[in-house]
Amino acid sequence: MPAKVIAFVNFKGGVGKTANVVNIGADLAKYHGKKVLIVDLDAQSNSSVWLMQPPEWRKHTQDLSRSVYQIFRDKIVGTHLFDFEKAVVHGVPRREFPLIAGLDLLPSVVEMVKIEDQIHQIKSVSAFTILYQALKTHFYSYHYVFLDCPPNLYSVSKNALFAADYCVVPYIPDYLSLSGFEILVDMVHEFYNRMSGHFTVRPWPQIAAFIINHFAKQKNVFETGVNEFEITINQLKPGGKIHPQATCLQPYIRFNVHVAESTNEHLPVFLHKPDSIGAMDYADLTQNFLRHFEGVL
Amino acid sequence: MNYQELGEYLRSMGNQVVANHEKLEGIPLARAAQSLERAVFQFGKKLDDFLGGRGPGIQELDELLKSPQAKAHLPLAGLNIISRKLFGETLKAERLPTGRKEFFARVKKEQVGEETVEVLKDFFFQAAQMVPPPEDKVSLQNELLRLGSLPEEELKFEFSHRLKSLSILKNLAKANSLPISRNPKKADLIDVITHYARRAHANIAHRAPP
Repeated sequence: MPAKVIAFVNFKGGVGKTANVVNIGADLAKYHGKKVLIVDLDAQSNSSVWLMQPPEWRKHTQDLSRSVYQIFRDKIVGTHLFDFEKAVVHGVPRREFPLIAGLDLLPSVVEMVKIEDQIHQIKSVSAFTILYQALKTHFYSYHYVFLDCPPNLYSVSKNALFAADYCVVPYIPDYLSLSGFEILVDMVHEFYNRMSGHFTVRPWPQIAAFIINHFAKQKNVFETGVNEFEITINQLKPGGKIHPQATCLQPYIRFNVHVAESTNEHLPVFLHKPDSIGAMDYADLTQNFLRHFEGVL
Repeated sequence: MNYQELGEYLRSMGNQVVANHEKLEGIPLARAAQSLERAVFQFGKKLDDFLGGRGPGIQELDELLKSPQAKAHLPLAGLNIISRKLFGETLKAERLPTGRKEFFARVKKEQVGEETVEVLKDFFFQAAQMVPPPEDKVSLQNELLRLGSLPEEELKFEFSHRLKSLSILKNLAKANSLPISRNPKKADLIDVITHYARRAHANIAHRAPP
């Protein structure tokens, strides 16, 4: 059975996409026996440098063919240089040896910024199927594949949307996120409409869950923000733009300095500070993530 | 280097040592051999533990007891619940750190590591489950949005007729996570609901209420 492929998408930056991808992915691999692949699609390479130490990442991706960049480059220039086995880093994070055996990473590179310009040379919808075509056989080696999208909805993100079975939207409960969310849902739906002819064998992907980040219990300030978000979700469900069972997964992830600090240590938060609220929130969130994606949907 | 490469390197080096052991001599080599011996024994012990040398499930149990789930959901009382389930009695320890040690030793002694891991995983799974929202939550959220869309006169009418009871207002406020005091007055509740209803309608304005 192929992996459940999940795109973590939001065109707003700083909403917690990478933190969610890294920490849920690591928890699934460590405590739930899942084999997980993280595909970093962002030119900022945040999940790559979270899970790899910078010298290790630079050394590995010095040869660009050992990064996600080569998947797109091959299609644009007609080469066949991408080799999954050479590009994938097994058992990340590593200290020479694997720290989490079930967690693999397909790293990104800064050169991904060029891809957005170059990809327009492909004048058909096949520009959006590149990632899926390159990775689909490898989906059978994993239980979960997480696609960490850049903070936009350009071509690389659209590749992730096409490759995904489900989308997860990381979200911060404020109005700026709310206003962007409705546009995001419309754009995702519009894209899937455009690509509908390609979803003949596998089901049409949908936005299936939301993760609330940077939450704080302060006089219901954030709760009321979440409430407005939930009302918006309720409004959107009947139109079929999001999955009917889509929900805000709980618990909401509280702001925790140790999560930020764990990026400097290049570790998921539970390896950095297992007794922090960040580690505890992610542990429970991962349980409910599994309940949702393996039970409810 | 990965573990496969390490294993192959050790095997190749081992073969070299065995083949030449009668010729090997000298202080530098002896010192290096002593430190390697210590490191190899230490690594061997860790490897044995990891591969289940302490008994089936024991390594995983050790990790689970140190996990964030354990920190969040397994105080001494929780550990006693698990202990009673497995052994029919609670722990003797009165503090968590000693309780964990006692629990771990008991599991190891009785060789029930795998069973304990299953029980613990189920315990954490149940503990992470959130209280489901009230069944009428969605309708009360939609009601807030609808109230926000009403002109002043109609909103006043709603508060004086359909929404005149304190319990209905409280229910509406709670379902929408509005900031209310423990014993709110009706007038305060109406103010809060009006503010957040207007806000929700403005923020989600272009989607018509169902």
